[in-house]
Amino acid sequence: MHALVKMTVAAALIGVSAVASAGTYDFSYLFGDGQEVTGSFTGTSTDGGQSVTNISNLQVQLNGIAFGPVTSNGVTTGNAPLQVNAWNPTLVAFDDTTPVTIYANGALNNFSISDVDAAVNVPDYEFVYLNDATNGFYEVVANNYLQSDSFSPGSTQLATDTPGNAADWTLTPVPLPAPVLLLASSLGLLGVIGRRRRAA
Amino acid sequence: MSSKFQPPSPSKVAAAVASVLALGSASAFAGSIVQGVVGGVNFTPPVFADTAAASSAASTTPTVFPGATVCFDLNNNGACDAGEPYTTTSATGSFKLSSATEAPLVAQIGGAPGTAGRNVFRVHPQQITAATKSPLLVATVNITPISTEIALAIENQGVTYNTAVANLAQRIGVATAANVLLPPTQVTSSGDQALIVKESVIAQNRLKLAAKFVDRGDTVGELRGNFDCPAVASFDPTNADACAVSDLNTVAIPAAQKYAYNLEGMPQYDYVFVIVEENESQSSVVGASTLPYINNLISSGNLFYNYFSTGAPSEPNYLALGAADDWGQVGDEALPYPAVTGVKPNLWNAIDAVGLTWHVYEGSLWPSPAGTQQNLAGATSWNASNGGLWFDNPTEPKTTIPGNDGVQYTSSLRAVKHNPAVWYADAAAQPDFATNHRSISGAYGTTDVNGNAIPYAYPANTSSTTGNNYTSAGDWDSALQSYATANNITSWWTGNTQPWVQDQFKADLASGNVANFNFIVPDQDDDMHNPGTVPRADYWVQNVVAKIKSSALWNDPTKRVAIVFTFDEGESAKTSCCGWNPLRTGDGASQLVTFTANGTEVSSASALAPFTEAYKGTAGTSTLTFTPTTYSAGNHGHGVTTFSVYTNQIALGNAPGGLYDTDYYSHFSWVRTLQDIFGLADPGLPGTYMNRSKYTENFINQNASVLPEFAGSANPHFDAVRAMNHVYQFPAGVTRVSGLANGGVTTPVTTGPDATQANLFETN
Repeated sequence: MHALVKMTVAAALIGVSAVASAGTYDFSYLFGDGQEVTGSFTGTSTDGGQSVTNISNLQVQLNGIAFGPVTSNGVTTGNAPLQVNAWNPTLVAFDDTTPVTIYANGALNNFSISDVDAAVNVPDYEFVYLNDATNGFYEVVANNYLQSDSFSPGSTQLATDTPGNAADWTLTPVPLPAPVLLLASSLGLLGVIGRRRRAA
Repeated sequence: MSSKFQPPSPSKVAAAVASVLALGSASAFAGSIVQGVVGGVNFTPPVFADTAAASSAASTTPTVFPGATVCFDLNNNGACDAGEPYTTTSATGSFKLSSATEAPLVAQIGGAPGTAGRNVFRVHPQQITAATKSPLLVATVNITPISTEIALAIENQGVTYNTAVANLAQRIGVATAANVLLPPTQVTSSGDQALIVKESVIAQNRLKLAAKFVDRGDTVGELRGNFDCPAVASFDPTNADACAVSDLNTVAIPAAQKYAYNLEGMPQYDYVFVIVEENESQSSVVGASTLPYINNLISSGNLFYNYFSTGAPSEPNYLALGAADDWGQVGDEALPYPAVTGVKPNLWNAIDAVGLTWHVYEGSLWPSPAGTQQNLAGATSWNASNGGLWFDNPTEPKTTIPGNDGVQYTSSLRAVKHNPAVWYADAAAQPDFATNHRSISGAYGTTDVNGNAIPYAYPANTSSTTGNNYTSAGDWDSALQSYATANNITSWWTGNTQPWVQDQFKADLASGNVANFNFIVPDQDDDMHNPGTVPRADYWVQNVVAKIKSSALWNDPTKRVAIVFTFDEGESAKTSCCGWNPLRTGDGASQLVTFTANGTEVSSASALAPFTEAYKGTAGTSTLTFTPTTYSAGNHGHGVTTFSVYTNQIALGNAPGGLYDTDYYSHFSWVRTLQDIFGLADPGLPGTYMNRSKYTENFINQNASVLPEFAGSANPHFDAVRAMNHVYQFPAGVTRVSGLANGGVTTPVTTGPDATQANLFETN
């Protein structure tokens, strides 16, 4: 009985620890003209994936084409990795002072994902989701400059929704594979037991 | 600056990014994402015919342009080249496009370069920057004729984007400046929309011409009105003395658009006022102590020293002032009314044809009661009962208006024949013809209409052709107004929607409702025609010019306003001297002329459409014939008369005054100049200039065999027609062939080049 209680408590604590745990998230946005952005990142959430911070490992695709280098005639362009920035409505700019949070509720999003040297070299690609009530800016933009700059009519590497539609946005935690989950559970349980014993 | 910015790969680049982003700087980000609409207007030209039933006015509707090619013009040549980001506008005219590098936006409408009738609109990069909230966001930028005018102002006037927008908004008069950035379809204010639509019509015409310049490979020399360069298509071998190397260059769209607003070097003007006095040679006017105000006006502005009337007596000149042709008319004898039928090119219709406006302001315009309005339909000839000199409708109650002096006045002070618009049947049949005729008051009695004392004494017991006695004349204009009021007359002409007031000119200046082209006709007591009326004319001109100079439009630096002061003709006894055909056939029956090219009448309805190639004028490609074949009185010249121009830009100190031009010009040159000022013709196609204004030196050289009246000219430059742009530079040692030799005025220069070749119409 005592062991059962301990396991129950441990399971509950595992649940609590998920609130503050790191994980991988998939996202998507379906534009009004049918184009779609998909991607993923890793980050930390304290509310079960409703909001995610400490974002890294960004990957973005527009209509299935990844934001990444393009090689044409033996010349490769677009070698910069992706960065994420938050919107500062006071500066009316994406700045580096505001912590970045990406929300499951699209109406709360104010971020940009772009190549890291976009501001000093020609830009490569960007995905922007903006809801700035202060300035009245509501828009979603996805653009792969490396390909949209030479696109011909009918090509699909530039998508805009102005304003954006929160209903078209999804942010989904990626479930950990079963072995990983088991390992995490075990480690978590050991950790809980260990803390209880030290506290005793 | 804090730097919490954490790029995945820390580097100097990332640090720079962090700094830029933290500053919120848009300028450092080179990329642009734009979306908007390509918009403008659909302009349906008027239909010209000799009858009102077959005529119709122009109409214009705001529109968008589906299927237009939009690109970021990376090399700024005004064309969407291979490798430049481009897209095609949707059915609603919308587009979205991105570019990693800053560049102008270009919209190609109607096809790629080389497509006949195409047009090109542009957006300057400064406008894109101004519309950019953040480099990573979408900027809304519409591509329109007016966005192109903003780009041209930034490029050619050296102003910033904000100034260009503000100036343009002020110039066209919109209440909300931001509306000029919208496609006309999106402007919700009807007042602003109408103004933007009108400006768009003007701009689209000019810009379409610019595309034609590029596609045709026109050279700079041709575009600025210099035809003296070898390798220029219209090279004139007799004057190959003033050819700048740069004149041989061809141009791309941005430069071509600049030239399209400076056709043959003539700046675009918003308003032109032409005051035409009667029968004085230049030697009787310039420097005359009896004309102090007129001489002040001349010296404040610029003077053309060798400006020739085109015939004698008056009527051929007025015909020429209205259409660059006297149609073979050589005398004042009775003309059929209207005299010119069959839809012939004329200024009035040409102005209507491009969406611009014209007014004729006539002194002593007669207020006719309802039921007896002077009406073209009821007027078929000169009124012989009135001496055959002044047109009056016999049905007018012309003996029933008492002047303040008790004298029964007639309307004969107004000489209808001095109004060039009335002679063209197709102009008179237009719906706006009556409304375009308006009153203008002058100075009568001892005070003018404003109650100001007239500062000269009436000539004693003056007897004029009209029989009026000026010695006791009261305020004639006020008498007309009293008559109109007493008889409840609100219109002077059937179909005229303008209430009759004694000085509609003053009212129009106050409301800004003057036309783009305003032809001002004094009555017979104010035009120097009647004996002893020269001092009156000086005061009348002062009165008229003062009204213009006190108007808001004159004092608005964003507007271009010109006052031209000239005469119908010089005094024949003194200065009739010059021209191709010194031997006139004399006054006699009118010789209305028709002429054809390749068997088709050149002056056909199609020739009225802007930029129509009615007759290309290229040697060997067409045959030009005249009927009658001996047209020998059209360009004989009739002596030097006064032609001066004074502009608001001179008055504001933005353009030079006190300049002169000793090149040879005539009424035909003036009409050609007006066609350039208002964008009515294509300098690359002589046939698009109306009537004899197409007779440039090059045109004459190419068609000498079919222009018998030009055979044997000793000086083709003298006898040819050209824009009054002062481009031609007289070679050293060349002596002017000038009527001034017969007068009392000495030109500043009689041999060799002028002191300056500045264009006397220049605006900056």
